[in-house]
Amino acid sequence: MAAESVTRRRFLATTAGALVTTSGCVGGVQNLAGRSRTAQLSLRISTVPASEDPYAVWIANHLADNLEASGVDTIVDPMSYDVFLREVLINHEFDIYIGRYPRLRDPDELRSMLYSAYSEEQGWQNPFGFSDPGTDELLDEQRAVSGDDRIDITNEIQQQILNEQPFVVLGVADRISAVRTDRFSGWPDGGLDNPTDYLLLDRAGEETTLELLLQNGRITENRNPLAVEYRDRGTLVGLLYEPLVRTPDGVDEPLPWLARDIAWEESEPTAATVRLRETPWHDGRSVTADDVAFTYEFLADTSLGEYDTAVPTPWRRSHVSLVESVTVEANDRLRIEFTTPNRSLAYRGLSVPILPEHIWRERSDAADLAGVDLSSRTTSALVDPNEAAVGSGFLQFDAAVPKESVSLTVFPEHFLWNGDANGIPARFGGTQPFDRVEFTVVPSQDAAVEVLAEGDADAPADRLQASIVPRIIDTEGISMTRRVPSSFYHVGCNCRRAPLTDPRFRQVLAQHLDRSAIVDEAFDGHGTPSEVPLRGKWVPKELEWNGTASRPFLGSDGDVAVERTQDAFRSAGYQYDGDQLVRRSGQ
Amino acid sequence: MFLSTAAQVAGIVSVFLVVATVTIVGPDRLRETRRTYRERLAAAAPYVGLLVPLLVVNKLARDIGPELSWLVGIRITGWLQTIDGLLLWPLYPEATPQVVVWLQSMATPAVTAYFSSVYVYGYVFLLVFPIIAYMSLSYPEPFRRTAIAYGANYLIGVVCYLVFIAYGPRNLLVEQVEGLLFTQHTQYQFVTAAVNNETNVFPSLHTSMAVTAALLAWSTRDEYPLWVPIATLLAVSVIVSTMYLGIHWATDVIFGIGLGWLSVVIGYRFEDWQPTLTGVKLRLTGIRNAIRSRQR
Repeated sequence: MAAESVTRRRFLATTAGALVTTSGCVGGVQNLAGRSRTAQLSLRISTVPASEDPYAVWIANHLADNLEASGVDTIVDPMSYDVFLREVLINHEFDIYIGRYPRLRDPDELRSMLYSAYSEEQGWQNPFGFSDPGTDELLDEQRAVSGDDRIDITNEIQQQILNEQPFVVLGVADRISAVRTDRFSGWPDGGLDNPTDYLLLDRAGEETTLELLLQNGRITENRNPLAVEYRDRGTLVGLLYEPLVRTPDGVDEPLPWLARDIAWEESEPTAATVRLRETPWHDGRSVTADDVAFTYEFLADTSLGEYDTAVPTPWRRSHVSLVESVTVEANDRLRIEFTTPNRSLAYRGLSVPILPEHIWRERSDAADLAGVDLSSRTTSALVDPNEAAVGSGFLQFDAAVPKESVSLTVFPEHFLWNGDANGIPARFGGTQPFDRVEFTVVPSQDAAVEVLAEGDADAPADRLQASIVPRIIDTEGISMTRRVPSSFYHVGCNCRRAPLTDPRFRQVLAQHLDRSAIVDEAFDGHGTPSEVPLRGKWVPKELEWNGTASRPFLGSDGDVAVERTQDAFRSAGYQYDGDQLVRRSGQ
Repeated sequence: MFLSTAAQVAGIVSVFLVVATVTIVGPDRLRETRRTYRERLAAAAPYVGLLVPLLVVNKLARDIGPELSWLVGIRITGWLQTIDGLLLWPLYPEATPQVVVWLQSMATPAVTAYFSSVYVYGYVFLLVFPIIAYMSLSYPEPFRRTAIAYGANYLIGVVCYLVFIAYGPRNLLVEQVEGLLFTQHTQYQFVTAAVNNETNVFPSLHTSMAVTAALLAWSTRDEYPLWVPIATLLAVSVIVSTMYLGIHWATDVIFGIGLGWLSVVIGYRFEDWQPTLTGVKLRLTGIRNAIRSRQR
């Protein structure tokens, strides 16, 4: 109820303010009129609707209520997922957004999130427009070292994020799923979160078609691995396109995938010779070293030199920047030079999806599609729906009905099924667990559980929300499963827009977020609060979650204490008129 | 799931329609209709022909509407939430609740079941019965009025959906509003999701259509006195259900009532107009002449 009463208070205060203004003394009018007037600060929180992500909406309302209480006019602006990603990642049209970072397992991902030079690019690379030379240095330095030195520098980077707060990390929500085990077994914890999870399944009966449920129809209309606004975590396109190496959960060393083997050189920075497996594209042509060389050239600049400024991939930017050069040595062999001496980091550079040159080369021309600001440099590669999706993955595209369904079939010529799976543990290869995968869009998660209960599907392809857990538990024949994913919820600030340009403002903003309340109430307890983006050995002792953030929430039980937040804003240099935070420009 | 639920809706509504036809329209009128059904169908045909462009619009709206809307429309969810938060101020000046939250605070399973069925079955019945009832009258005006008013509702609604992008309360007030139809009566979703887009919120077409049907019922009170209270009760229930189920904001409903009234006005205005090809040609010539005379 807090927000509503505040809104009315604001209305009354505005009216009162107007009366006071009109009663100003005439002699001072000239002096006064020459000065620009102050107006209440207003901010817009971009997010997706509850049908797409109830957690994000809960967090948006929580932040909006607390900012309203502190005297900031705040509006929550829900939009469909693709529009949201387009506004935030491509057009940079936002003040604050609530979102989930797709996957973050290595500190190098922070380099693409925060590197100053990326702030004008489109995609997950520095959408915040953050710029800090000191941080840039640290982000470069973590690439040059390994072992404990890298951990120390990563700690410094995370400390820097907490000081500057270009984005505010809130925590991780468990990936919840519900599965049927009568037709397929071997479900990994949390369901099918990564492409390799699909390979872990086993047939439990005669059924050869895996039936999965989708929460939205994006994959039924767009199957472009570079179209950042249509991809959540890229799991489904990851089934269609193979990288050189894959690192499934629970595997220490990356597995050679399209690469048959990798011979490392003892050079600094490092380099490696990669031999490819013999495997075709879905259209029958062979996957060659030229395709791999093309992919790295293309991802670094999808215009292939056409534009004055490169148009890099909006996704996996940091992976691509780890590769310095690619030389084709034979049809199935190439030498790759890296920008880092750290071998485990170089492996990241090998994990981008390889694209067929004969399809993607012609997509380097300028795109003319509505929906994106046309003055910005956009290539066809970034906006093409890529409906046919010719890749080299173990599943190939078969058919789709827009907004309703998509079916993939097992690609029988794939190396996994043809005895050329050296270096890949047996549990991922061997016999094909299914012949087909049918994905069907359902109107909601409750509906998904109902379809599962009736035995018309085996599992959802997407994660489920916590509020559905009691329903899963009460339903016969399906079981709940969960895991902690590598994606975290965060509040992103557009550091290009005042007052979000000011780190002190962002610090106080961060103190309007109660991480414990978010996990308890938004995630229904199915999650972990955190103020840093990384996990495990990358989290410094002093930043491990102990119930209070290092910049603590200024309130209790999810509600801010207004006198504390107003004090915090005041000491950061902001001014109040009554209980409204006012600025000269009103911006 | 979609087909079985759709068949269920059709079945149940048909039963209602048969019962209502027998009791409200009555055997005498039905016998009369059976004797003269050719003329009546002929009189109605041009209006049924109006359906064709409507279906084209519907197809377009469903296929490209949402995408087009995100390009040209304005996002108003935040404003609807703000306005809704002020509406109950006269009742609760201290801490004004959102209208939808306030309605849902009175929820019980029985009430939810009632409003869910009204939202689905009651609504369809409320719209279809007048078509049967007015076809059974010996003069065509009520039928024409109804066809035009329904068409006007839909056309104006579609234009609004294109211009205004908004999500309903169930998509924004997660901690307070339950999408009751969606969590408790899951089966209906397969039908509602197939016929509607979740950003088609402002104004409430459920409300406007229901208001139109109720106002038209009043206009035929001499012929069908029993239909007036039934239509009124159903319309009010449908209107409350859209908010109670967390689908619409109160603001959507207020504008929906306005649209429903406007559509009836349009229906009256054009009930003597025959939508024939020659008529359209004449009108076009008239417009052309008017433009020419202005140019001179």
